[in-house]
Amino acid sequence: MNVAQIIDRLKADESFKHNLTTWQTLPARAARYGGFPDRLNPKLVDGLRARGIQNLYTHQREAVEAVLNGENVCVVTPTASGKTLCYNVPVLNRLMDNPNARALYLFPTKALSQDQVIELKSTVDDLDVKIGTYTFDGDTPASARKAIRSAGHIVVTNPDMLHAGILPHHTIWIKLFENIEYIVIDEIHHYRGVFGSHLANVLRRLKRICAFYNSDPRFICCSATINNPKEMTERIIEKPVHLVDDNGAPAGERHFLFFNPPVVNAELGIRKGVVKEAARIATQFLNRDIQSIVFARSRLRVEILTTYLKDAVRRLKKSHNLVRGYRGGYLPLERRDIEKGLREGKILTVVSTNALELGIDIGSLDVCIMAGYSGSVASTWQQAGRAGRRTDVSLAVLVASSAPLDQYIVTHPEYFFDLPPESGTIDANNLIIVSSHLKCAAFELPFLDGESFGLDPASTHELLEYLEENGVLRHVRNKWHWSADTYPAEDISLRTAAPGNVVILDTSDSGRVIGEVDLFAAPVEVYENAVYLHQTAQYTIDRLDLDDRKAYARPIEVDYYTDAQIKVDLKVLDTFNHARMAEVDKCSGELSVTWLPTIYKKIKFGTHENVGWGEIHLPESTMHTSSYWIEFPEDVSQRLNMTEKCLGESLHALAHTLRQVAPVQVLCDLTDIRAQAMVRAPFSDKPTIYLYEVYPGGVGLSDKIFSHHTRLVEAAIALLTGCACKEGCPSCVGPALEVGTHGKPGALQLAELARKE
Amino acid sequence: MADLKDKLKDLLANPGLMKGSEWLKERERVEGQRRSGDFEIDKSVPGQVVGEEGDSFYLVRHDFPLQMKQGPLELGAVFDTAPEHVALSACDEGLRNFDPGTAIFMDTETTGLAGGTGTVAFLVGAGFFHEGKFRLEQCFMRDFDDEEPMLRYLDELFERAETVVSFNGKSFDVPLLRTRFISNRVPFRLDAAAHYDLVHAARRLWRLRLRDCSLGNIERKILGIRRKGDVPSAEIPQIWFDYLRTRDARDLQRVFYHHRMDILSLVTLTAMLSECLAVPAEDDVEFAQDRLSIVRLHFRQKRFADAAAHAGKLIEAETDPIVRRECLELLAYAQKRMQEWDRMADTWSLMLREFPSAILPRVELAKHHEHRTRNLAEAKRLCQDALQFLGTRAALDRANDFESVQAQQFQHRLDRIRRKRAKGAPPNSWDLPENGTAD
Repeated sequence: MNVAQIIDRLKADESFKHNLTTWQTLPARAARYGGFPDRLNPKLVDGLRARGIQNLYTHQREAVEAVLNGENVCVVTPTASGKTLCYNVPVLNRLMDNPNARALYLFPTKALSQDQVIELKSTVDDLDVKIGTYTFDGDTPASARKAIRSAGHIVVTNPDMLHAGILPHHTIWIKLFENIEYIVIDEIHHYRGVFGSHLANVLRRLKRICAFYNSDPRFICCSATINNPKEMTERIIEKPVHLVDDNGAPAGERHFLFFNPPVVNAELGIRKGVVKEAARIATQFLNRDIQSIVFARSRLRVEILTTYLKDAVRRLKKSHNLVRGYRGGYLPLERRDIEKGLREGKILTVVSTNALELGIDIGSLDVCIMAGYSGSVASTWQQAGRAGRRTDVSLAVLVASSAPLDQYIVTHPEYFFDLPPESGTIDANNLIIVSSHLKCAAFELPFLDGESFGLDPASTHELLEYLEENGVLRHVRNKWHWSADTYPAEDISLRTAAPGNVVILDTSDSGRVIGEVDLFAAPVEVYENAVYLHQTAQYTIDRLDLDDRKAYARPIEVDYYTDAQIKVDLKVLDTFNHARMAEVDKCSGELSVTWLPTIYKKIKFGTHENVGWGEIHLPESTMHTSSYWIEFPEDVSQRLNMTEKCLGESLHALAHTLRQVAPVQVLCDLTDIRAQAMVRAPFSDKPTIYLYEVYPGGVGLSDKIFSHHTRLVEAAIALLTGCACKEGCPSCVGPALEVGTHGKPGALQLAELARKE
Repeated sequence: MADLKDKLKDLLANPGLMKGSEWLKERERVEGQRRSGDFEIDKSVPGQVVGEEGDSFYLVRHDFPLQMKQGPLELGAVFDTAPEHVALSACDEGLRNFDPGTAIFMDTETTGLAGGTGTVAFLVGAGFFHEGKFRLEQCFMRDFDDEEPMLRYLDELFERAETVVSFNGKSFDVPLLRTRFISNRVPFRLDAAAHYDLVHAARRLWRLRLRDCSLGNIERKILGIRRKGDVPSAEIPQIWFDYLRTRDARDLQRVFYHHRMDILSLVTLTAMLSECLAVPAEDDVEFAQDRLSIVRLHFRQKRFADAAAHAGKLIEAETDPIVRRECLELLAYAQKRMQEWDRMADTWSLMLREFPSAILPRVELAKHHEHRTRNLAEAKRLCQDALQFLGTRAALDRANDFESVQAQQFQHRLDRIRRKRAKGAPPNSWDLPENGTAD
């Protein structure tokens, strides 16, 4: 049975269709070709033709031309549109003309780097030219490193390795930096928030070193579809960018279905589980020998789904090897094996985390099933793009969980299909981040007076002075020298949320590190007597040493978890943006957040009964960060005819809802933002809802939310009105038990006020 | 953004970093001292400023007579070294033309071991023979801005060096200096010179006996030097950083001393290494392990006659079984490579008598009798003996994987020998090449 037949059958299946919130058919699209530019080396064009690439699509041609003209380029194209040619063609062309030239490729993960090198090597072999292509990362053996430094024409690495392993040793990479002409950054939309803010600073350091060696490389970047690819890329590379977004690749007819599992308890808003429903749907394709990929949001879910599907295939008396799981943590060889099995059709169903969402070559499959919304429109399209050969019909099914964001998306398909996707944002000048990289940059090359690093020269100077006061820099005559016996890059991680994480040690296992939490979350998660869950094992925390940044844990087995009660105080330090709407004021600015954990509750698994409590003895913590907030008029409770208690519940419910839908507007994780409601904010005395960033200083999310205020509030209204529950449920404002019975209707009234222009 | 620093402090919310006011107080105290200049480098470590104001560095120069002793040897003893022995100790034929007169003895003191471009060599020492003396120049950075003029000066010194002598310079000092030169855009010519890194030579010669082959331990154990007023290497970076802040150079005296001693030791250590290798085979050597190291070194460099001569001398008197066993093995293999078959067979037999559990002599003697003396009966006996021995080990569950492979090989050999005997062992036509595949 083929996909078209399956689709016909599904169309006739009323019980299946009953749970669909939309069935979108995206028509087939013909290829548009642009031809190879005449300027390309004929040998390269012949080589590509020999590999079966007879022509370039229009977007590939545009990208290649722009690079040949010396522009920085950002290519935005969906999965399987041949984006690697957009950078490989101009880079290989240059290397064939000038064997001394060099290029640096950056990928967010090691697996992608490996994949890229395999493809590049085979292209280079076919071209019969001497172009050395190597990955350089933590797995590269010491014996190979020297050869890569001198003979690697194309060095493929990741931002972390560039930051800690290459830039601080630039003198031994002299050949690369003297001759570097191209820097390729693939999956640039991936570098949002903290990671992207770090990357922008790593690139500042890279450009500084290139300038020292008199080179001035061009950037070629690729992004998935986001709202602001040009802006985001320009913020990261800090250079003007030529945007290429007119996709000329062909596509077959595509069907995109949103499946909302049936409600089993309307009162509490509980639906059938996403994992079982996804497994049930996947089994139908498995039974009909149709190749499919199932995406799950966590490693654990991948394992569960794989088990279900392996059982299903065994019942069909077929080899359980037709179903494979795929996630980080699998050995590289095992992963290569799975990728190969998919390309050759020996594997029918693969269950994966978002590890396979990025451009690893697994060929194209027939069907994609997503067990839960991936968190962004951009990555959902990327996942869906895993299904869809260039000419045949394909199918993607999004199975919603009961999380508010999932419910919002499946009940508002127009948002997904018709409106622009989320905006990516970074803040390269977050003070903590920029000053961390200023240290690394000074380690690499002394700063000159008047030199600027991202900031203006005066601010750069001020931060350099600060570092001198802390004894790591020394100002002599007109230069700032690194003046410590440490290696700063070692202490700076590009991926964690805050500087100086608290590590959790298992004292029963000679102090083995079992995990880490960021410094600001530690008082809430690893206080004394807290139950800490790690890969389904339970630990209790015996001691938290905030000075030493260590929490000491030992394994226990209890039938409850702990939940800290925290007293949060907010203080507005500075308002950067303020706009008066018809009824409310919207603002963004700087906030001081103080929180004091007071007690913890022991909550029983399953029943959620409160089975005890204890006190938490920790000092209060303060963080300065960025925030967006909405101020309601002082008399709002009279106008809406609410009691004080009712207003409190309503504000709380709306705050919760706004936080849940914030990732609809801005590329971020739910955990990047927290929400807080106050019936009377200090100073203004107005009822206020705050959404603040958890990274100290913020990374630009607040300003983005501020500028998308109306869309955000509309999304919240849509979620509230679309949810079938009566008094609130986990899929909208949070369970009624927590927000009170007035929360949901009140939140809707407040949101309507906030929407008025 | 006038209050950036305060903002950053607030963001970091880390009391450990908030020492701005302490720092100010400290700076005032230091400023006073700095202005008075009472303990500046020129008051603490006499030397000279080289270069123009604003483009200079500090140079401390000593001329030592060739008769001066550093340990048991005089500095001039380095002129007695035979280049052949230098090359041998370094396992580097590029040192065949070693001439102390055109060598630079080099060492650095740095701001740490972290590596990367942020580590500087604030004290670079170069010693060389000049007008009948050993001249030692210690080039010192009074601050970061002294680096470039210092490197330009060093460039001139390095240019005339044909060989660099260092202790661990190949993996530490030279790469670090290369980074400093590149960062200051000064050409780095040291790469053109030959490099005699004593750490590798010293390890080959003394590791069996000393285990710890740090320069400090070698000085104590080999050169018999006790330093007075030295400073531990680990403290050196901080002493320099403190000096930058306080301009109090008194602690640096010990650093200069440490650095000077290191370089002087390079000279006599070079002489000592060659002297040890120059000992004739017939003379006695105090430590058997050193002699064994010499045997190894000759063997490694394919100097089989020397290896055999030293090994022969060593087994005359040595009783330590560990030394004897390795020595006998090296001796037999050296004899094999020289095709002294009878002597080789005697050595293997001697080894088998002394070490009845050794398998190697059985293997080699079986080969010898099968292919060379064609004493198939003896070859057969050796194989059977070996199989019985290995069988017992296996029965006691003490055999390892290697031994089971050996047992198989003996069995193959035995089978072949039996076939040969059955055919009446035609001469010559059965000859197999040395280490032939049938072995």
